[in-house]
Amino acid sequence: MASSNSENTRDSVPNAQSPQASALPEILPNPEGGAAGLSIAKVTGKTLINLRCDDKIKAKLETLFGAALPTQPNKVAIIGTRRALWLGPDETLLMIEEEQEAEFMLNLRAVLGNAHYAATPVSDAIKIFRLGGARQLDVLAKGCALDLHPASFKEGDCAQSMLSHAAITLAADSQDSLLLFCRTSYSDYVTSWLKDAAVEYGYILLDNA
Amino acid sequence: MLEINCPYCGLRDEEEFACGGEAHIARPLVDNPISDKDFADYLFYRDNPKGVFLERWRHSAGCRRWFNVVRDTVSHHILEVYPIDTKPSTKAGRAAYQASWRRQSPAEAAARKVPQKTRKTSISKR
Amino acid sequence: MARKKTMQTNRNNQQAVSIDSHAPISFTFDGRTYQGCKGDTLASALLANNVHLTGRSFKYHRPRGIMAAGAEEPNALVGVGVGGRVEPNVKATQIELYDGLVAVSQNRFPSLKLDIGEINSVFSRFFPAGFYYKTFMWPASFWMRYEHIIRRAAGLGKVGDTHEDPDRYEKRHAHFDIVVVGGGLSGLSAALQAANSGQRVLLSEDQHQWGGWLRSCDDIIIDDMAGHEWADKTIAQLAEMDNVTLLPRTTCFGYGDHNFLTLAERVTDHLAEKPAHLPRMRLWKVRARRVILATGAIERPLVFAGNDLPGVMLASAAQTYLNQYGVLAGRRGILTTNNDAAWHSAFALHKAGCLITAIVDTRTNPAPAVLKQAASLGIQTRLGAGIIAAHGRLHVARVEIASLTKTGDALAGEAEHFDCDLVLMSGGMNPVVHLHSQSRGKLKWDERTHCFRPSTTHEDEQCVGACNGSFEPERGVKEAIAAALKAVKANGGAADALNLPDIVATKINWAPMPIWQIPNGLPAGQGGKAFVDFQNDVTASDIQLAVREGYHSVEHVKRYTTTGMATDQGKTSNINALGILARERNAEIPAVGTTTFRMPYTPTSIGMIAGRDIGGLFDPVRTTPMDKWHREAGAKFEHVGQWRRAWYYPQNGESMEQAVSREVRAARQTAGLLDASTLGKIDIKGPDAAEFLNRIYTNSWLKLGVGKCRYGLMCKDDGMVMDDGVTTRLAEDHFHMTTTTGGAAGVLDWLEEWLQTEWPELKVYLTSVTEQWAVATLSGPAAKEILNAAGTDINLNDEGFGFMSMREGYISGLPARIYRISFTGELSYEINVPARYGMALWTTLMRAGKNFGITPYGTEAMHVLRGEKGFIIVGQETDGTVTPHDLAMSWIVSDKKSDFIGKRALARHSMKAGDRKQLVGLKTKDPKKVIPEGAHATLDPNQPPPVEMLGHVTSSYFSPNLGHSVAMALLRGGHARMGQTVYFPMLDSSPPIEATITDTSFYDPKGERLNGKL
Repeated sequence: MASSNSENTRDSVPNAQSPQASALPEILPNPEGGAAGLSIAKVTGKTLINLRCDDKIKAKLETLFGAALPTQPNKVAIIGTRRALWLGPDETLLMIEEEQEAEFMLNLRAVLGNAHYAATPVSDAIKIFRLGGARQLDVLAKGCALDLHPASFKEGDCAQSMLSHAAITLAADSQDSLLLFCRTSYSDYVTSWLKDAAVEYGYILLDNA
Repeated sequence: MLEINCPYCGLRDEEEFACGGEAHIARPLVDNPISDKDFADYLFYRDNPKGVFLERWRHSAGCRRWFNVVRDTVSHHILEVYPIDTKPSTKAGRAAYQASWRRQSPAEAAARKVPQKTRKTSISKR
Repeated sequence: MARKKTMQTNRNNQQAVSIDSHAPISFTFDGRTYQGCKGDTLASALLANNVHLTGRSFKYHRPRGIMAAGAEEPNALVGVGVGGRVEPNVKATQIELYDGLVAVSQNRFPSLKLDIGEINSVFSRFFPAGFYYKTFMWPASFWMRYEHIIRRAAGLGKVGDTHEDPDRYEKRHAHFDIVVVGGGLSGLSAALQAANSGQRVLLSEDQHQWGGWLRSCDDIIIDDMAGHEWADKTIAQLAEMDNVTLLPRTTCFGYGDHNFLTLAERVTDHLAEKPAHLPRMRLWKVRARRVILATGAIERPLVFAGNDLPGVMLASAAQTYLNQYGVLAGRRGILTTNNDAAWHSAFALHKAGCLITAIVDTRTNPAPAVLKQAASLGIQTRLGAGIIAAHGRLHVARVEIASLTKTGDALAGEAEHFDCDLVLMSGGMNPVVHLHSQSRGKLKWDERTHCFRPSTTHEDEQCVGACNGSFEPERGVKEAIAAALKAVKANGGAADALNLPDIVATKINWAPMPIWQIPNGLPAGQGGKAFVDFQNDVTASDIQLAVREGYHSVEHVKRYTTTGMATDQGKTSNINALGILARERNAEIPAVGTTTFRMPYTPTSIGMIAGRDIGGLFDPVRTTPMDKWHREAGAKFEHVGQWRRAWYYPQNGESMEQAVSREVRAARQTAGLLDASTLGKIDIKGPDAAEFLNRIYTNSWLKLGVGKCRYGLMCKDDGMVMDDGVTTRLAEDHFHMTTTTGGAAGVLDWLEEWLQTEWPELKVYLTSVTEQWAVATLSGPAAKEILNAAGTDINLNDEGFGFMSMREGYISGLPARIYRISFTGELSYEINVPARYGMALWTTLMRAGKNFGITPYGTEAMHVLRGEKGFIIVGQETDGTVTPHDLAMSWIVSDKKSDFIGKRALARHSMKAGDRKQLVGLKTKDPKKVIPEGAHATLDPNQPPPVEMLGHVTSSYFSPNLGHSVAMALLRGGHARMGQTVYFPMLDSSPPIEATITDTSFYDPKGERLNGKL
């Protein structure tokens, strides 16, 4: 096949019957031209704190966090670069800048005192990716049963579900991007899976978002 | 594939859930004496009815909360979803709850706190 | 190949609606090259080339041709593709033609026209219904032998020799407010109405072109447009709308609980050049709020002798080939029917140049309009008559026609013979109720149109148009629009009702005469074969025989005769089979009932169902922060659940045994280093945390001091051990629990379950921190020196840091929690650092330990080391039937606590039985012999069978440190058998291994090495 677009040949696409996804290149141009359908960017420099407490305790943290922590299921509080994701009726995932961690934890302990709560650092246990691109929802739909249509999953919404065999948390974020959280040990699987699933549309892997 | 209405997260695919089997099996309290045979009702015996069944489910890939479900095992229709520590409120659910042999079982009686006064007598009776 | 291409002799209309004759296409069938047009199916292109014979039948190897024009085709199953793309058993009517397509016929040897298996047909009275059941059930052991022969003779297509499938397959989820299945007149109307509401609408169509019957007929005018033009216009309108998804070439093959639909989209099958980035097929897993089924109807065959000959075709199919593809399936045709509708198909073919020599109708009273039209076209008719037999070898050449009695049960006159090369047959219409039925919707028998129609629904679904038994176009459109409006409203939306289009169509009486088999004048079972289920080679006589043999239930008859089974799912056969069954039982069809239609509606590719879950993405592989180091060190790995763990580290060509032996010795003589990061870790916090642990574990936790560790066993409420691990008190209200690697997720769920459902009053929060911490276990006499060499601010002296305690500090600058606990029996530190520092910790320790002989060891050495100590592994020494007492661990079961999970169960009478299987140690008589794990113990190796089994070996290793093998076993009454001799018979008939029962602490039973002092 004499194709002018060398990326559009079978050679650049690994044998799909045995996905060797780790062998996929860092960048695969959109086979049909235009921008890559999916961008995957590692999000670094963040501290994640798994907060377990009831709504009354959450209310006490509004000033410290800078916004009311979500009490409605599957909602995200967004303030600047900070995010607070509802994970369960007494479970919230806080995402703050890494350099603010020590002070934040100190203040948190001061604010909450002897109250019944658990604020557990989980930055090393969870990897964060920012997904973008015109076809990101089509890629996710290949492994996730959530209804991510913009009409039902908007900025400020989050949900926990499965992406194929990996547990993930998704949050609709600014500028049509999505934050994807997964366990660290699943992150290779998740990125390999996303790349393989995006072969139709092209993808680009970015180092930092 | 069922679609289950998590009391917190709303309608989600069955693959996000784990079924915990029959609901409303009360655990006998350790202070209440119970025979091996009656204890077996709690430990081993599980219903598997054709029709309305009260089940426990957990949103395992979501908010990880347990809740109860009234499900028709024939039609697979889910008639009601209700919190883990409550009883069903639909007619079908209430009827299934009342009709269960467990309501009369010594294991369920042993799961109730016996008031201090009567407790002594009830133990001495045994 | 330079061979001359054949002419498309049967193509009489280059402007037919579904083809582009300016785009000629070459393809091969059985090695011969033919020409077709863009838009053709393989079936239409073969017919254009006057090829009718396409395969041999399943059981009798009878010559078969193209009978239908859609998914219902039972005969024309072919193999397509080359190399890794060979796919067998594809319906020629569903293969969209592309340049270079290669297809072959199936089930013939040596060739299609001369097939040896046809002899089955000659001996067919030896192959009656239930033949396999009757013949091969006895003697049972012979089935294995028969099976090979039968499989070769009875199979249809063959998979390719190349098993490397070059294609990609995709799966995706999707959610829609309204899903419309079927893109004919009703489906298009429903979709347009639904789409006007702005709700999310999916419209799917099995064929590659939209319009369904509108493309095949020439007598439906909609809004002054030919039917197919209206379809094109409507689909263009829908394509413009953002809220509409159109899926042509997509078969909805499954309809499950809660409006869950599965659709198979054929993405590249029709392309000559298959773009590498596109999947061959895409499985759509759709959750629909409302479903509208507009799946149309299928014409049913008539059952008469020889009705399976090539050239015998459904009347509607012949009309489809004519109007869609410009192909005349024959030159000299005869129609045999029981209804008016088929007359119009015959008229269409007649006008196009196929001489219809006779229309044979079982009724005496067809509509005056069709009689008049037949007369004006000069077509002779035979009323109250039927084709009683069709003849020909590889193609129909002649039919016998005879008058029937009024009820159609017997002949009423002599047969006349007609020559022909095409027989059109029509036995009425069957609504395609498969999806409705799959979703557990009920069916009712329609006495007027003699077919099953949908009645009550089970899911949120509505059937419209022909699929609902509404064959008249206006009625179908009205139903479709009403259904769509209802669905929109039920979804909480609104839409203005569409104006009904202005439809001009031939008025047709859709009531056929109920006649399920045309008699042949001979006693039952004699005469030519009259087929009911063409794909499974089931004849009318087979069903009669089944009834005579006592199979009365429709479900039994189905399984006994195989009618309506397998990939065909009764599309053309169902009603005829029921009709014959009802007649034989002197019952009405509704009383006989119908069988369940099962998914898939049409066969689906396994590759599509597998999708991306293959090869490297079949299952996630979880790795630890130190994984890269292990790989670079040449470690062999084992998979523990989804984790990849270093198994052993062979050096300089060592065998596994040599490597493990070296690692095990090092851990006892100098120091070993294990990556234990995969251990489950749970952070437990709250004022009731200690009380909670006290209830979870079998031992006491309330008085554990801060900074102290304790080993615990947890049971299920039946008293059986479920997990173990060390838990440490970080603060009054704060604990760090470890679990087994495999049990991590299960234990967290278990703890949450008790907190949420049983003890909601306890104030405890749990958080999984398994992956927050990387863990390196440093074990051996030199462990302390190595830690000091690495540099730490923690005082490692026993006084400051005793066994079973934890200290926080720094190691070589890395923040760490060090737990002084031991799974080896040596002085041992489990060093936890935030996972990001895992690799740094590992390399630091390796560097610091270099001069002390530090040796990385893997999971195999870990097993041997703990085996030497007799420490259990949950899941290896336990299997869900083992209590702490069985493990000789009664010391860990508190009898002072008021309650813990399993307490009451452990007090059950049966738990005290002396013959429970109990964990013991084994020392082999020959110290070098290692008993295989799983081997069964017996007291007397010479006992004649049945040999009494005592139990089995759970763990067994050669201990390099002790110089003899060590094993543990669960033996009946084992604790009372200390010192007894047991034997382990071997599978390879070598002599049984002899062993003495001991306790399980083989190495350093007093535990003196825990302090690192030798």
